[in-house]
Amino acid sequence: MATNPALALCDDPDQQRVLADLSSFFGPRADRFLTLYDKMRERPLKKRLGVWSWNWMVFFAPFVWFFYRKQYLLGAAVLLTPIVLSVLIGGAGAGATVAFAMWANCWYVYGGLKRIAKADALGLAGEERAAYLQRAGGVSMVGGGIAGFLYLALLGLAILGAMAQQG
Amino acid sequence: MDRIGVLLAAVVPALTILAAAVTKARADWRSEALWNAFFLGAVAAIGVGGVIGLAQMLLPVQVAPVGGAWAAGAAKALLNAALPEEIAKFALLVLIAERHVDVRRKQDLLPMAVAVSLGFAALENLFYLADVADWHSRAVLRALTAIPGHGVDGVVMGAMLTLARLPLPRRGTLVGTLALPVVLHAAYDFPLMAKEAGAAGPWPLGLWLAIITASGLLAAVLSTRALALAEVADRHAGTERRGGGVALIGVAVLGSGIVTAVLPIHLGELPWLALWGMLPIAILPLIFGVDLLWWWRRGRRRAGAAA
Repeated sequence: MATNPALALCDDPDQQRVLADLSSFFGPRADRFLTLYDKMRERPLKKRLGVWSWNWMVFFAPFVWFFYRKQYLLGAAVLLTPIVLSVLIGGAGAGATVAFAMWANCWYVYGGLKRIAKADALGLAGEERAAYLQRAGGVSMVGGGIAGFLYLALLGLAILGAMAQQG
Repeated sequence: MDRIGVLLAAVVPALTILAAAVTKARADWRSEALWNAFFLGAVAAIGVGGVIGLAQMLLPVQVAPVGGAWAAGAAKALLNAALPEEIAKFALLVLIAERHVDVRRKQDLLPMAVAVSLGFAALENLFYLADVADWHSRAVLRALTAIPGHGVDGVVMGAMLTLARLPLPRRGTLVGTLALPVVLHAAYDFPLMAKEAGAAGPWPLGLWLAIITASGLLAAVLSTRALALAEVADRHAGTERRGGGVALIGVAVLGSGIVTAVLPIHLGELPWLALWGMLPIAILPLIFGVDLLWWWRRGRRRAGAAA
């Protein structure tokens, strides 16, 4: 069975390098995610993506946090999945938001590990490697701002829609 | 199963057209940046719907159409469709998608823009198909009209963005990158919305055919020019990629255009299109099929000259 190169980094003998790379990737508030990474390392390989930790921002504004952290695919999935399911089958389940809030941090750390594995595959080193990880990770005020604007628009639409139905 | 059919009918046409752009630009289907762009396009569709819906609730002003069906059609095409949709796509393309760390080649910009546009089209298509009982005929019609229309806008936006980013003596601008797709999108919707507003006679369809043809030709010419220049820039930067399948995709696209042109298809509520055959709808696949085959032949001539 092929080893997941990203999760295999948890067993890499040079953990100082992995931690330095993760710090470059996470940017602001890296400590929080490095702590989660340590918890992932304690688990067997198959259970590493099962580590959960609560993320209040994701609970209240799911896709905004992912866009702020430049995880646009995840953010799009978080936004689009309930809408698409609602259009197709009429309901998405309120549990989805709780699940996103529980596993967002773990998915984010995994995203960082995937990016490090890609940097290894590209043979990047030194300043070029750090620049690559910082550019891939960190935060985006623009992404967060756009997502925040969209969130407020959708929230406003939902509130006004509910008021119009009651009125 | 029906719901799965709706989902596939919504998404597959968009991905098929994206395949043509990815092949021509020798982009990589495995690129996270490409899928990023596609799903950001879908997010843009949500954004446009949400913002317009909110605006209509906050400002429920009905403007009486002045100047008849043609003016009403033009206003609706520009203000209700072209401007908000292309601005949303442009914003997400330039502010987020283009800045992805995996975008390393200038040739990547065009398929990124097409991906944003077609992600938008796919989600819009889903909303259009999920609401009707007889979604099959609407799916076929939209796969041959609205989806390629968005594809053309994406190709033009991507070509203009590529020209804006290349170090050329007279390069394009970001204003042009937005303005030209807005004009094309509005022009595409204008005859249809004028007809909806009551414009009579064959003029709306004739005008639509002319606009589709002109848009398709412009997109083909612009994309070829932009990709040729980007190819040179990427070669100098050492980021050029080899790729294949252009001829195969070109034949498939051209073939689909020919089949569409000669097979009369029952269109339900639009029998006037069936009377004209499917020529207006077949124009875009015909143009892009020829464009892909020309691009393939160009590549072979250059490879032969280099050897």
